[in-house]
Amino acid sequence: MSTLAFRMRARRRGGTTRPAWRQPLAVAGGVIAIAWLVVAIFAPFIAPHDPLAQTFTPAQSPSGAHLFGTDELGRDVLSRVIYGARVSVPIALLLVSLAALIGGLVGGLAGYFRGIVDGISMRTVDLVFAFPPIILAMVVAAVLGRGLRNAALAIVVVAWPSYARVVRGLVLSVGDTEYVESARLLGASARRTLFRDVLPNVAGPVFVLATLDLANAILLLSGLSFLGLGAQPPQAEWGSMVANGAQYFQWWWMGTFPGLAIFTAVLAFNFLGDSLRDFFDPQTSWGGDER
Amino acid sequence: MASDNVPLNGEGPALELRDVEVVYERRGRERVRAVAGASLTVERGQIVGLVGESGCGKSSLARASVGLVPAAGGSVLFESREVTPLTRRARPRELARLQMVFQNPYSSLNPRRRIGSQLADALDVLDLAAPRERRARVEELLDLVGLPASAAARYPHQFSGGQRQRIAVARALAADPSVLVLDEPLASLDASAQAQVANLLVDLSRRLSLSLLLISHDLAIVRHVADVVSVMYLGVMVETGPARSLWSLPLHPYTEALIGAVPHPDGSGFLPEALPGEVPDPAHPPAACRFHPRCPYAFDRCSKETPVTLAIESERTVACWLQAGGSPPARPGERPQPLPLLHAEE
Amino acid sequence: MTALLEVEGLRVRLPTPRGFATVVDGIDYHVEPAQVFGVAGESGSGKTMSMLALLGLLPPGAVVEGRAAFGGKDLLRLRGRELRAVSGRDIGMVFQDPMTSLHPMLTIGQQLTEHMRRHLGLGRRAAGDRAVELLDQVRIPGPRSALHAYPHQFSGGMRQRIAIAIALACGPRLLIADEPTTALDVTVQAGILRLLDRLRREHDLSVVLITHDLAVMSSIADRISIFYAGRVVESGRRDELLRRPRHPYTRALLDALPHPEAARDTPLVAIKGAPPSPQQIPPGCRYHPRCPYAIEVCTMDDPPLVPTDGRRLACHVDPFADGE
Repeated sequence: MSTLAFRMRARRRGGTTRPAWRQPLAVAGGVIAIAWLVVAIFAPFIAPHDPLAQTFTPAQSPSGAHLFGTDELGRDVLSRVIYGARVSVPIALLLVSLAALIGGLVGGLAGYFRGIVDGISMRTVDLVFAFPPIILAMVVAAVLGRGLRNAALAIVVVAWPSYARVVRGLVLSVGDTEYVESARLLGASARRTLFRDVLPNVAGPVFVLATLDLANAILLLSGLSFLGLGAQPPQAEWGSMVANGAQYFQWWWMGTFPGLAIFTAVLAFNFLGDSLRDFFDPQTSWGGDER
Repeated sequence: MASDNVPLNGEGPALELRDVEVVYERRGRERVRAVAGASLTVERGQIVGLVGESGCGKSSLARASVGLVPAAGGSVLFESREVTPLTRRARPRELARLQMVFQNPYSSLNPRRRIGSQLADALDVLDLAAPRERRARVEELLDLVGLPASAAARYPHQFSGGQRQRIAVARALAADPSVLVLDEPLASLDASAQAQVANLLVDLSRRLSLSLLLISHDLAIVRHVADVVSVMYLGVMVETGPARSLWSLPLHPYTEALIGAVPHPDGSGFLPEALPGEVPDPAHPPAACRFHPRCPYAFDRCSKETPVTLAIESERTVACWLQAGGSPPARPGERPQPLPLLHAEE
Repeated sequence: MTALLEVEGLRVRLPTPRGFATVVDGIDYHVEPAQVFGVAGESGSGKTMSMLALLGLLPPGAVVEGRAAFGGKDLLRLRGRELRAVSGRDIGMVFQDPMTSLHPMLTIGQQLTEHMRRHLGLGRRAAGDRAVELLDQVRIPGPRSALHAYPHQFSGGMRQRIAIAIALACGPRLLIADEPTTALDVTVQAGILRLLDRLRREHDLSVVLITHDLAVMSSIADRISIFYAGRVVESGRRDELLRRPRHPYTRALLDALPHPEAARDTPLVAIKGAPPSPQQIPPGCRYHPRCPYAIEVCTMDDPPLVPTDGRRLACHVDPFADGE
């Protein structure tokens, strides 16, 4: 009966498509993600204090004056979490775009030229995939030297292969569809069909992957900073704040609030990515409407 | 429509396939000869039906005839010009007048582009209409296939299967073709949509002097559409003839079986005949006559010698030992046992 | 003869982004034992939905009204486990595409015995023996070795035979076959039709055959209902209905088909336009916008399905009443 269940799901999707914005998880993800973006952009206006100013009594628990408390050096944790968004969110956006660009280019070339280009690039991808991402990122970051920029570069190195693989697969499968063959028979060159017919059908899935990857990137970046390979003190960064908080367990607020920041941002982008996946699904948006 | 004056450049038929072979080779697998030397001629303005069960190689032959797969042997001539296989470059301009329509109207249109933009592709690539005239030409094409001009602004999923198939035909017509190869254009459609598209094809062929190679598994509908029918079995042609005489007097046992399998919508409760067995694996075709293991009339010569293609009367050909005696054509079942012939030869 | 399945006033409404769409709108029919009941119509006429409703397989949110008496129970009132007990055991279902209705990763034997062991409580050996028997019944060559094979090792026709064997596994009294031959070659289709005919004769199986192809219908259906846009427009005995169609739609469906016995090259006659979508059902007779015989009353009053000369017919005009 499992196959039947599958048929029914396909049927339902074809019949009653709900717009993405009607799904509660999509709405939640979108709202939280936008909130973090706004916080990142307007941090100086939102943050009640200077994130670096060591002007308060150290290690105060959360109160009306300091909603998230203060850390061991007397800095306001709320302000540091808010400024932390300025590090994590834009860098994640930037490095995911870079990874998607590099991966998309490599995958596109592999799928378009096939043959030896395909072989070489896909073996490279396999090579990167053979390592656990955090380990590889650590190695790269350690080799390049500590610091936020190198940590971001390390993540790009780990992240591009998944785009290469997805784009290559899509270019290959879309390239073999009958509508591409029809266009070729009408006299369109392979390059023209690549831009007119193939890539637009590849864009959706890549966009979904990139959204989901934003969550990964935030997590990896925080992870590297947690390990001391990313942001350096005194910069306010979520991962290093968690690491710092872990040393002062009795002052739970120091690690918990930046941890929650990571948690909500990652969850938001995951929700958003999943909803986008449904939105771009051929079954829901443009296929199967048989009548 | 600038089609009433089809330029007859070159001599010879519109499309000519001579001993075409299509071979698929995959690493780690056996070589498969999907088409094992098939010949077929489409005269100018003619509708030729190509019929056979799935797995007989008719789709491979269709793809080879437009250059989507290379022919491993033999030749494909479009208006006496060699059809070269498709490469990464744009297809030679001379071949643009040889077009193809695919079976599945759900996958043969780009789901993300408007109909109008897809129809205008050929006009743009081939420079068949100035940019400002394209819109009018697109509407003209839609009108040709019986769709309203408003269809241009819509996406493929907004149409039914039959309508999409008509759009696919319109897209092929955009290149101003003289030959259309249609791979099972009716198979995925309802009976009523089938009749609409079939009538449209006949009408277009007559009005635009289009030659059609219509591939189908349904001999009953092909008979209504085609002038000439070729029957293919396991990569080879077994019989060719005018649609009418082929239907009323099939000469090859396989043709007879195909006709016998057609159900009759007359309410009589007639149960069609099933052909025993299955189409064999083309990687391991039976020796000699490829049909002999399923043939009800097979005798020992059929498993020993490959039948030659004989011309019967003026317009018919058949490859069957039963018809090889020089006697007048007859249904395989009505023919007396061909044993004397066999003795005469041995 | 008492009917095996008796459906009355079946109405199915499906949720869409713009409210409910009525895809089946008040349908009555009955299926008699050891008979093939044919449901014909174009795609989108509600023929498949009307069957899925009986098995509780409609998409979530669908609303079903009416009554479907089967073995002393009303199928439309059964829920969950109860329904599965009846539908899994006493009703078998075969779909159009044998490529997707079989599980690609399980052997034929696993798929065949799964239901038998669950619904009939058979042991492994007994289920295996029965599976071989079933494969033999649907004429799969070498049934014992076929048990260990996977679906991709079979051709389309063989897969459809296997799908039928699976549907028959628990000894159902009713088989619902939704376009079982549409994806197949005519030569293979003939074999499947003969198989269904034999099952009906030798095993007293009742079959509901859903197809758009009246030629297929003509070979094995005993009685036929013609569906159009969620309604039955004509129903009756096969020979009556196909030899002397009375509804313009039935007539049009027949004229669209190639006639193997036509002496001359009669052209195929296509029906104008396309069937309406469930959201845009025309007023009056649903067929009137496509009907060449429509008169004014057709645009206003929906004709009821009434007994007419040994059949039931829903047409104001009845243009072929005098035989013609």
